[in-house]
Amino acid sequence: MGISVDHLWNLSKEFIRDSGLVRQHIDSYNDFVERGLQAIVNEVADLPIEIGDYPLKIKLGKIEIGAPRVIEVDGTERSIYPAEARIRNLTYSAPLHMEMIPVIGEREGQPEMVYIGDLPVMLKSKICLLSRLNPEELVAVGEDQLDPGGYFIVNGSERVIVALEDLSANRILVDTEHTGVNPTYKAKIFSTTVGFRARIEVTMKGDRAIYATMPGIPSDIPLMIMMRALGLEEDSKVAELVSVDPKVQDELESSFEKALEANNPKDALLYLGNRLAPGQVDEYRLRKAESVLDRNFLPHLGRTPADRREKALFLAEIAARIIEVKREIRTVDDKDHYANKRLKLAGSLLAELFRISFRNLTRDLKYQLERITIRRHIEFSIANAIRPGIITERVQHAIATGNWVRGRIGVTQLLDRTNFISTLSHLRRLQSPLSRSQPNLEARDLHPTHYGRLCPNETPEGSNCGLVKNLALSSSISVGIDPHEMVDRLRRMGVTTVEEADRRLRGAGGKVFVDGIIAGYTKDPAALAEELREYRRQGKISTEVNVAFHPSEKEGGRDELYVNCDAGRVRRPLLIVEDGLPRISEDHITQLEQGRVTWQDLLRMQVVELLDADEEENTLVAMYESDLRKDHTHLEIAPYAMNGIAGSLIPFPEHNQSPRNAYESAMSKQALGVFSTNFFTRVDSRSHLLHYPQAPIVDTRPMEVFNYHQRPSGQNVVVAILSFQGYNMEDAIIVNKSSVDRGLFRSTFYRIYEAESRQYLGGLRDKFEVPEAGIRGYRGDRYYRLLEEDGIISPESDVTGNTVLVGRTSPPRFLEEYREFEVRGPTKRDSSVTMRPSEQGTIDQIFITESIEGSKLVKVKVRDLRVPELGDKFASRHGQKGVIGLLVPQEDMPFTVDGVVPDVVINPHAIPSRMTIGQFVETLGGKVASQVGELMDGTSFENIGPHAISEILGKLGFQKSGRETLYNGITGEKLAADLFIGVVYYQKLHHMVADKMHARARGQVQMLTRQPTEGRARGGGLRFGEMERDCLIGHGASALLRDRLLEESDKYTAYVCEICGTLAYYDIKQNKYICRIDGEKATISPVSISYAFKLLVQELMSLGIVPRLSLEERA
Amino acid sequence: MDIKLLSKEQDTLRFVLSGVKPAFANALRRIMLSEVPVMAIDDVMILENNSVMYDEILAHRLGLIPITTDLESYNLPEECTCKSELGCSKCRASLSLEIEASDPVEVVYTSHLKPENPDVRPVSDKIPIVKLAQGQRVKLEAFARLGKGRTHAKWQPVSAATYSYDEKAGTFTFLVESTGALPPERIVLEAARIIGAKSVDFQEQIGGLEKS
Ligand SMILES: [Zn+2]
Repeated sequence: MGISVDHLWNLSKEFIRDSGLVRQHIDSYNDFVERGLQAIVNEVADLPIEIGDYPLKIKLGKIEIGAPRVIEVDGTERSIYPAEARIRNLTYSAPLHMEMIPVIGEREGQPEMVYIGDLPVMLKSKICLLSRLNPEELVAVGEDQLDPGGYFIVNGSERVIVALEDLSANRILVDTEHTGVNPTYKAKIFSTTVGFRARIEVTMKGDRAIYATMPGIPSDIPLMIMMRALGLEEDSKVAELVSVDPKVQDELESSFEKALEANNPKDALLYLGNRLAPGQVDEYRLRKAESVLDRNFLPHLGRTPADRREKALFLAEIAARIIEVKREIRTVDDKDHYANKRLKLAGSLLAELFRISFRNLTRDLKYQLERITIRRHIEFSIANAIRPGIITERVQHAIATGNWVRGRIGVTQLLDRTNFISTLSHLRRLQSPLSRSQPNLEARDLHPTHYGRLCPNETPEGSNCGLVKNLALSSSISVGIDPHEMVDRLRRMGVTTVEEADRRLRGAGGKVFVDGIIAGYTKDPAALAEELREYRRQGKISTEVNVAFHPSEKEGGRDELYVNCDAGRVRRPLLIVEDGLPRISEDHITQLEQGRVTWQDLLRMQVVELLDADEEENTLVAMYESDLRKDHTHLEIAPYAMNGIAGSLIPFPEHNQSPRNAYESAMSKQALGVFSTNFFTRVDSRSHLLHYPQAPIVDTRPMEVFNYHQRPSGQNVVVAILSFQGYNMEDAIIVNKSSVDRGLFRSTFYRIYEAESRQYLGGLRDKFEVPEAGIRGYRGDRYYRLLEEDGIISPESDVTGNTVLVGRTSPPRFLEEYREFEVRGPTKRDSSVTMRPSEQGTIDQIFITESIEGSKLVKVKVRDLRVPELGDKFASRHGQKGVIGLLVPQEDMPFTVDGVVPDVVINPHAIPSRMTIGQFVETLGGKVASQVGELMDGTSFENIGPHAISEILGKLGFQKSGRETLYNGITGEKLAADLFIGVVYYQKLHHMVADKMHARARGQVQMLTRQPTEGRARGGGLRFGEMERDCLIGHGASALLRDRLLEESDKYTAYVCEICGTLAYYDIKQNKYICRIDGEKATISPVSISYAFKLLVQELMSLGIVPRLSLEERA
Repeated sequence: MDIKLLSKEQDTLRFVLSGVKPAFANALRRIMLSEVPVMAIDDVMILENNSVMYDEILAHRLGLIPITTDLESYNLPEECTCKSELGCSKCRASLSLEIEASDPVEVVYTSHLKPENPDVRPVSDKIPIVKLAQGQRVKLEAFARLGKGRTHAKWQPVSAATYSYDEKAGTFTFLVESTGALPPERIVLEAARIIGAKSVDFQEQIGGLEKS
């Protein structure tokens, strides 16, 4: 008997609940707070203060983080919840305190707990107040109980740290390049240690010699010189280290030849020194070379002279791999294989940022202490010398702008709150650092190892296609453990170090790697792999560890064993299979369903395990239980969990052409719905709310875990497929006007306007009031009509474009303004906040509060009712989008004998070329669901299928095809053909005509060019572009051309001297035009030109070029 | 023309119409949907509303409540003798609502609407209007007027008006389902009357053309 689909679903649901939808961020952040912070402090450890008189240093001790709080302008400290931070534009952050112990000579002073700065708190992380609240309490503190957390609030705005997909560190990746006559073989290693990343390249060039590069040395260094610099003198030993295979050793010949000039370590170091500091004394060059070698070459193996031996071994391994690829006994590495990728999450990115700002803080502290103590010889206080702003501001600024260390930009993004799905999807997004302007074709492709880790459907179209990805539901990100413990354990399990391994073992055994460290050799790597896995299952080693055995790929190659325990590996759960039977039983799942065991228990019970892409290469996974054979090692839990959040919304996606699912994945993030239940107290600068959201009657299983039924973003509508009067051609849709009357797809649009009363230098500040008539910038009485005495508009008043929402007066901008009005004293100017010119609405709510600087902060929320109208955009869940082409009264719509009238009529031409059969199946499923009164399950691969649905439809008395006889609502005749009609879930997308329609007869011009402005917000004109211009030229319509491009644009009368052809100027005293060159004898004529042309002439003049206009009488 | 009654329940009427062309049967159906006047709330004066529901949504919901219609006592506003924009007792009927929630959550139903004229009241008492939290208040006066489905779906007297056409027999099997505002037979009758009036009007106009 097999395990039922329902049971497997409950299992996979439990996995998702256990790992949480944004758990990757939260785990990573928690790890940073618990271990990362202290590790960064420990890197510095001691801070020597150089003050000459006596030896003083500061020992850095324990770092501690407090609870989220805010310090008001009056100095009071108060704990805050995120809701307050959002409304008051605050940062949700917690204070960091560090133990500092002054050490004078050998004597330790009194430890001091010093405040060193604020760290923004990730919502729902361990230190976030929300993580301890139950749903009711969450609602009480103003949160949506289903909000996932995993983001930050900085200056009131929600920022996500988008996960970064990077090549894994400390791994050797060999590739070939076929550019020259001979192919080149290149090995790349991103050697990474805390806070430092060195890109090492080792290349076998056309001359068959191997060279290495590293940061700090501009040129290539021959392999053997590197080896000798690392302390290896004898050629035979180097050759032996690279390989025991004589054929491989022979390939080193060219490399040895390149190093003849330096055949001992000292000469090799001098060789390096020459490249670093040419012309300096030997002593200096030696020191420089040693320092670069220790610090910049393979830093992940250590950064002291003692680590050179280890580095030599690693370099030998790189060389061996290059030669093996060249000799074709090893294949090149696949850069896009997910075993070679790691995700950098909030924790590690914050660690990078914090390290830099912490170093700045200690440097500044050292400087301050040295300055104070030297000058005044007083008892110093660390707390007084420290400037916490260094950390606070640096970290906050980086999160607020996304500008990270090392010039990386766009690391954080404003959390997408269009709807609940877009928020979740945003939190599960990952970005590739690869340039989007370059093709990077392979990197954009879906790789087989993405299966179950990344969503195959959800990626943007266009430049970011395949570079921006989303996590699959079944993915989980490793947090990592210390690799050195693993190395020790392996040694105890019989792994022989490279030094101790004899020739036989090195030839016949397998090399073992732990996170890019060579652990040694083992006799039987396959057996060791099995042993390690058994240990992991038994809980003897961490479940974070994955083991991959790479057997020799070709005749003459080597066996290798990889033990991965680093962070950022994307893993997925699988059922363990033994002798063709899954270890899990119905009993396990029943216990799980009853809450008697958890997912973690199942891991311990050795029935499930998490595999990374590397270990998965050693498995044979059956898709279904019925497929199981003796040689299977694992079984899939839920095939549909390979989709991400957005992909899981689509019912019957396996019936669609694949790109349609990708389009829908992108579109579902633009649908209006309930983005959050605390929308009433939220102050997002713009947001939408659908009035009557419905859960889809054709749903999918995964919707349950991301609560789509509680936070839906669409409505179920009756859809008929018919070319009705042609108003639905080209993807338009026809909507029943009576349905709209009844409230279909109504929504509200909200916009927040902000006004703050700022304080200026000299004690002046803005004031909220109804501005007096006549002050600078006064707009006219009618715009201030709705303001109350406090200068703020009254709630529920209807407003249109340019209406003043908050009346505000500011002190004059420039000091000169004082002088002008000295007699009357400083005057005020109007700096009121007004409605956007093209918008209207009703004042919904007003938030009056205080910012962190203590100034009054007003936020005005304006709402606007949006009833569907011609041109509004809608989409089904199958990438079928369209705008309303016509609203038809119900009596004109076709009707069935039951009196059913479609809400939406789509055109049949939308189907054949797009092949969205899934929508047909949904239509049938929706019809059945609405008749039976039960939800229809449309989960991909696991649904009952179109035929079964058809059969039910038949039993319900409908045609199995889903078609029905309809009557023409206008003529009353039967329609010649039966129509396909059923219930489909439609989404209203946020592209609405009310936000876009725009026309202009006359209006503003730009200051510089005097051409009409651009864009709706500025009342701009519609561009008469190059192609339009070409069109008129083609038609010879010169009068129209002149009208568009000159008369109605930037016509200008320039006065030009006929003799010299330069522009003349007007002298107001002489009341005439004057040419500076020809003076009295000039003849000056007016010329009609484009102002932009006049500007060009003057710009050229400023460059020292004289453009001369030669004038002629008009023919 | 022949009419045979099939069944009649409270709000549903089934009958067979024969001896007419589809155009006529359809005209009857269309007029039931779009021209038979019924009462619906059209104007809402909101005096107080601190519920979470916006005034415009509240008003929209009130508008969609089916109201029992007394066609004899009321005039269409555009045909009323008062000619006033506000209306008079002949062309509008008010319903008032005043409620403050005393329970943690209280649902306001149509039963809370107090009609000025007991004959012009919500068809059902059980239609939820808005949910209130403790202490929230709604106070409003709503004015119901006669109107036509063509203007807004709230003035449609029927929730379904349809037929099936047997081409061989030449019969139309009608299904008329009232919202409760008027009895279904009254809706059919009114529709027939409107067709009649239209024909008379048409006749007169044509006659006028002949004379001139
Ligand atoms: Zn009247």
